[in-house]
Parts: sequence; C-alpha cells; structure tokens
Amino acid sequence: MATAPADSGRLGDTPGRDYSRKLRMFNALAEPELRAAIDSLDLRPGMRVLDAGCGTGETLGWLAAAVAPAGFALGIDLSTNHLSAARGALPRDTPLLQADLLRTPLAAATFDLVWSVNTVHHLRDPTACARALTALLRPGGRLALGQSSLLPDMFFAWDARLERRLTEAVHAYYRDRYGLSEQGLTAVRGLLGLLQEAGLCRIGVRTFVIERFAPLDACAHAWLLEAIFRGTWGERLRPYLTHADHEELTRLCDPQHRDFALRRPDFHFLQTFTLAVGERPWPQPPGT
Amino acid sequence: MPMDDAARIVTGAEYVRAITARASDRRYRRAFQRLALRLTAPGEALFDFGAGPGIDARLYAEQGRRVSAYDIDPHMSEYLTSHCRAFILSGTVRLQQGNYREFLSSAAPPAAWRAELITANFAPLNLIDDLHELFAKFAALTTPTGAVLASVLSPYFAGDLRYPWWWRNAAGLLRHGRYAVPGAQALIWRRRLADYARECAPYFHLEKVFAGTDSRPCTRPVWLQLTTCRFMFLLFSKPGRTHDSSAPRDGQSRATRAS
Repeated sequence: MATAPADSGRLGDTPGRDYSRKLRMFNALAEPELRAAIDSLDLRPGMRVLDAGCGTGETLGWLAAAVAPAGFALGIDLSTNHLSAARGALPRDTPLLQADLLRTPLAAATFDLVWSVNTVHHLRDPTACARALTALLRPGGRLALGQSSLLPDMFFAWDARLERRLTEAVHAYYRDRYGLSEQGLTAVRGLLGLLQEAGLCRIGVRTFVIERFAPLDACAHAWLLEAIFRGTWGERLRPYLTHADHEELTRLCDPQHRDFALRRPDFHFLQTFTLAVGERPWPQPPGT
Repeated sequence: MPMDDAARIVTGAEYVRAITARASDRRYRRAFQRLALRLTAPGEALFDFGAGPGIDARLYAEQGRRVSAYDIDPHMSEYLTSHCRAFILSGTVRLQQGNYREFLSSAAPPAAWRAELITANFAPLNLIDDLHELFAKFAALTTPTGAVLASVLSPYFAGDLRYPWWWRNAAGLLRHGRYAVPGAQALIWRRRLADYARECAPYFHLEKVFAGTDSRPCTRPVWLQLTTCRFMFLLFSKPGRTHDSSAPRDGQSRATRAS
C-alpha cells in the first residue's frame, strides 16, 4: 500500500490536502470545550496570537475575539483548501497565511501565544515543529499544543471488546497506509516531552472532556456519523476486522438499520482534548 | 495612477473602491498577481514598488512571501498599515515610507530583505520620468538573481485611439519612443518597449513581455497583441539571467514539509 511521499509530512500532508469537512465538524462538535481551553489561557486584548495549523478557521475566530480590538490572531496552514474554507468562514480582514510551519516567513520573537491544535503530529518531525513555533514566541510568550484523544475515545459504551478491536484495526490501517507503528501513532501522547524539548518552562497541562450522550445534538450526530463512522471507519477497515465484527460495526453505523448506534438511548461518547502549555524563558541576565 | 477620475480620490478606501470597481481592472490585477507568485517561491522576499493600499502586498504575504512595500503617497501607506497590520506586526510585511527622492537615496536593505522580485503593479512606472535612476535603485534592492515585474500602460492599446491626445502624441511615440500627458498625480509617461529596454540597461534587460491578461509571454508581433490590453506586463532580469514563468515555483516539492 502507498506510504507517504518522501518529502511530505508523515501523514502525507501537502498544499492539496483537504480535511476541511472533518475540521469544520470537529470544531462544531467541540466548540464548548475549545472555547473553555481558550478561556483557560487568560488571553487579553492587545495580544498577538498565531494559530499554527488553523484549518478551517473557527478557532482562529475565537482567538481573534479574545485579543480584539488591539491584538490580532494570524492563522497559518499549509493546505490551500483549508485556507479557502477559513476565508469563507471568517471576517474578511482576518489575516491568513499559507506556509510550511517549519519554514514560515514570520519574524522571530513576535507572538504572545502560539496555539497549535492537532497539528504538530502531522509533521515528520514534531520536535522541530515545536522548536520552530517556540522561536516565534517573545520571551514569556506561550506555546499551547492541543491534542485530541490521548485516551482512547469511547464510542460504544456497551461493548468494550468491539471498541478494542476497532482501535486495533484503525492502528493496522494507519500502519499500512502511512507506515506508522503503534508507537508512532501514539507519539501524540508525548506533548509534555515536546514542550520540554523545545526549551519551554513553566509547563502545564489540562485535559477537557468532550462528553455527549443520547439524545445527541446535530453537531455530535454529524461528527460521529460523517467523520467517524463513514470517514474514519467504513469500508477501509474491512480487511482489518473479522467478518462478524465488521458486520456488527456496519449495523451500528448504518442510520437505516434498527441497531444504529446513534439512536440508542444509552449512547454515550467520550473524547479527550488535552492542552499543554509552556512558556518561552526570559534570557538569563548576564553574569548569572 | 492612470485613471480619469484620479483627481478626486483622496483616501486609501476610496482608492481601493476605484481600482476594484472595473471588472477589467480586477482581471489585470489578478493576472499580474498570478505571474508574480509564479516568479517567486514561499519564503522569498518581494518588493512592491507603488504598493498603493497594499492589496497585492497582503496577498503576497498571505502566500508566504516576505514583502517590502513602498508608495509615494502617505495616504496609501496609512491604509496599507491598517490593511496589512497583522503581517507588519509579525514581520512578513515591512513598509518603507518617505518621498521619492528619499526612497531613491535610502540605504540598501539587509541581505534577508533583498528581493527576488520587485513588483510594480497598476502602472506606477508610468509616473516616473527618469526610469534609468529607478532601475539603478531596483538593482540595489534585489538579489543577484532578482528581477522586476512591472505592469505598465500599453502605448498600443486600441481603446486609446478614441482620445485626441493619443493622435497628438503618436508621432512623438514613434520618433522619441515616449511621450507624456498630464495626469492627476504627475505626468503620465507612455513608452515603447524599446524605451523600457534602453532605460533599464545596464542593470536589467527586458526579458519578456506579457499582454496584461495572462501569464504567457507575447509572441511576435508583440505590438499587435498589446493593442487589445490596456496594460502590458514587463519582466526585467539581471544581465545573463532568464526566468521560466510557465511553471509555478511554489510547486509541491518546494512547498512541502520537513526533510
């Protein structure tokens, strides 16, 4: 099976990559938790914020509102598709920039906060990315790395066995598709280590739980059905599951079927969103 | 600025409305922007001469270019400062201010800001009497491989034939290679290609001519193709250098990730 081209990110990211739909659905799903995460940063008007990997831009809009009117939030993404989606979703004057995070044209020591969610693990070298983002911080500025699902998500509260098989199947798929080992896939859990390797201090971390249960709102329904059941699972997992498990999964994910999971009164979804924050140290005064 | 109603335009916002009002102007502008982006790669430095309100400067910055911008008009620079604020504050756009003499005598930029491409969109060069000294300045602003891309008024545009001033000056164009007519800001100079080629030497040579609608170079006879466009785009290169404007320089191999 195809692996990522040699000079791309480890998930095959290129300017042509398009996760727009999935990103929009995630931001709609997780808006309360993402806003709570932003609130936890205590942003103030006048601050300069960079959203590194801004995707479809919803979060960039919330960051911009938190620092308005004197401050600004600049969004950067590699994908042409994400940026055009963001342009459509945000006020016209929102600054957006298309560039590679490892080679941005931005001046060093510029930002009070660099916010980067579900992004650094898309690059082949997340440490180099964290260092490059750190270089953009003024001394005392903060790098906030957000990452979904450091713990396995709970989709089928009533069937831990099927969920475990599913997780294994997804790992096997990513191993074949992108050449990633389980260690590689779960490297996203090393957020604290990344911040340490980037030379940041006063590191803290906090996890927000995205918890939804029956009856689901439209955002949760759309995310689970479109992004997970159809986008992440679906036919592509067939080779990685037993026939019986795949059949059961198909029934649970089929809105036409009476077993459709999202109609169950006991449906209960859990996903974590973790925000790790570190501060760029002030230079040591001479003679210390 | 080569527009009939230029005299009453005072603020950046009004100017932006004026230059984006006509569909044909928007087409010329987009074609020029596309060409400028093809001739540069993300991360490279670009100098926007006659940047006006900063519409192009911001677009280039959004595409990952580092942009220096200069405009003679402080109202335009004021608008640019607000239009490109986040980019200026994050170090991807820098504004140079001052009158034209100050611009010509300004210190050379730091090496990192020497431009791979100087852009002059929407005919700022037509307001310049002495192009030779401007090209000398352009040479100082560019890297050894740097080039100049200028959108200038075509002296051959058939649409201008209805104006008496065109007929009054046709002989001068043939004989001297240029003529000037009064404009809102300054004299507007219309020049033949040979005049541009003469004025840019020895710092640059006129490498390619594009009709102002697409990014393919004109083929011969050039002047005939230029009768249908109000603007023509001129690419000036350093002696001995040539450019491939057909392939984007920011293709995936240049623009993608870590190695």
